[in-house]
Amino acid sequence: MTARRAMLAATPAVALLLVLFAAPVAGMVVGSFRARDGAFPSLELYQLLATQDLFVRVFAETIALGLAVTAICLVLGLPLAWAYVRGGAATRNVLLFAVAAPLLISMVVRVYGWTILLGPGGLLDHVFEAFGVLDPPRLMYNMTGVIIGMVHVFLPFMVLTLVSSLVRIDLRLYESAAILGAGWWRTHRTVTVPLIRPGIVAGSVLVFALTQGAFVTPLVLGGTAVKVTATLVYTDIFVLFDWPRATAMATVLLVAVLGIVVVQSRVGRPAWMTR
Amino acid sequence: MDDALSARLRAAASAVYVALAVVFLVAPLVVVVYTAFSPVVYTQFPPRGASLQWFESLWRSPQLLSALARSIGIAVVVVPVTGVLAVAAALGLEAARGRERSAGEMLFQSPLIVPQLIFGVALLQLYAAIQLADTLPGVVLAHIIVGFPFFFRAVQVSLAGRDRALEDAAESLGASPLRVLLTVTLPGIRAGVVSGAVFTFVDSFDQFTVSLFVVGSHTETLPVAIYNYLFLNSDPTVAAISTVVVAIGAVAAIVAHRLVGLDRLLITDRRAAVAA
Repeated sequence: MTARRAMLAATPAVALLLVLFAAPVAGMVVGSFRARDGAFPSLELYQLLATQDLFVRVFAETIALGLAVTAICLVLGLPLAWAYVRGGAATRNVLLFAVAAPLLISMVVRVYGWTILLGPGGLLDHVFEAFGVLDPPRLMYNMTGVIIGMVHVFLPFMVLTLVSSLVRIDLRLYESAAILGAGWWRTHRTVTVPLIRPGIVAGSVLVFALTQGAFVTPLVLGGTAVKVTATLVYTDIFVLFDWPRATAMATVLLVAVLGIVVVQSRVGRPAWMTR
Repeated sequence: MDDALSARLRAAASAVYVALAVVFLVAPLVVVVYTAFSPVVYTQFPPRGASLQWFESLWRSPQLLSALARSIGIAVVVVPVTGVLAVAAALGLEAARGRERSAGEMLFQSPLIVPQLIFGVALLQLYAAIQLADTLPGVVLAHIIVGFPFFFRAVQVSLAGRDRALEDAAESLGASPLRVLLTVTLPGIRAGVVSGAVFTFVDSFDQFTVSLFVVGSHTETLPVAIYNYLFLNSDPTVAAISTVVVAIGAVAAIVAHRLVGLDRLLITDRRAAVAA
């Protein structure tokens, strides 16, 4: 079979993705440059967004939230990835199922689980009460709840990306470090961290990009107290029926996410397989 | 400090940390199951007895049950169609070189990179124009696109790791290209196809974000039905159906682990993982 003929096998997938994926996304972006009175091209919608304090503030807060969630996932994920790579068969299996289970179960169910745990009068409130805590902290309908929920949703992506990077380290480097008298901290600082830097970057970019598009967790666990760009898009479409503004906000979001991905692709290969 | 002692302390601290992290990761799933068997409407702790009344009430909820059946039906259609597209695409891309190859690669991965919220908005705009909103074909097509990168990637990794000498041998023995494909290439990438199929099934069954935009009252899928139910009711019937979702996810995890290994499924660089 010639290479040309073999390449034809990809045609159906290319056609499907061009027609039902690339075209509508491009169409949405182009449409966001149409003014409300139909004038095209126009920056009217973007001027509107830039002059609305609410949107500018929410957009900045969404980025801050994304950075915070990414940092927490990185700090929590590094020791987990390390425990997985260096652990025995039992540790590996337990961790593998604990990390995979949330990925294989619908986000809606996971968020529902958090509302049972964190909600007012929820399970944790009863636990606090059982332990005599009279004034339990509020864990839902605020930023705390959103951060807990988002860390839970995105931690598996971080751990899997870090593991992919950690398994490549040549174990003899650790023997060398030990022979040369390096302690625990120095070994990790001079061997582990430099070698998995691409994994750290890839995992962080992946998690950050995912946080920017997340809206179920902020909507359910944050309630009306927390607004992020994605929930503004959602509200514009399903509550306010303001399609033009929604497409402009979605375009801003798309540019932000693609920008980060482009920056990262110059630093290291993306690990998109880990969803 | 004594080195052996500090190593033991670190091992103990690591074990405690891993245990806490596992609790954190599974806690929201466990409480959903716990609530489904609760004897009362409100959440209580410590538990006082168990009951099956929420499963009985689920049995009398045609909306949730038909959404469950619809979601399974959609996934059953999505998996084989995505599989054929992905295997063909991976074989086609393998023959491509240079700019064509990188363009194809980028297009095939792009549904993972563009946030699903944005794809949902864009697709609903298109569907509204071509009358595909709130239709089963529309939902199936959306799920195929979102699931495609997983299936494609699984097949691609599998293809790259196979022994091409077998294909050359079959060809030199006079097998037709089709026969080489059916008897050598496809059996050789079985693991990739199986893992792609499991992932795509779960992805379709659980798909929420894009579905929310393209489904309507006639095509409500289970995650969307659960979401809508949560806004209108607060009784544990939704915990009962969620327990079914958790069970299906658990079965998928076990099946995937038995067939190809969850580690091979989830950890990106498989060849490196094997070598280490």
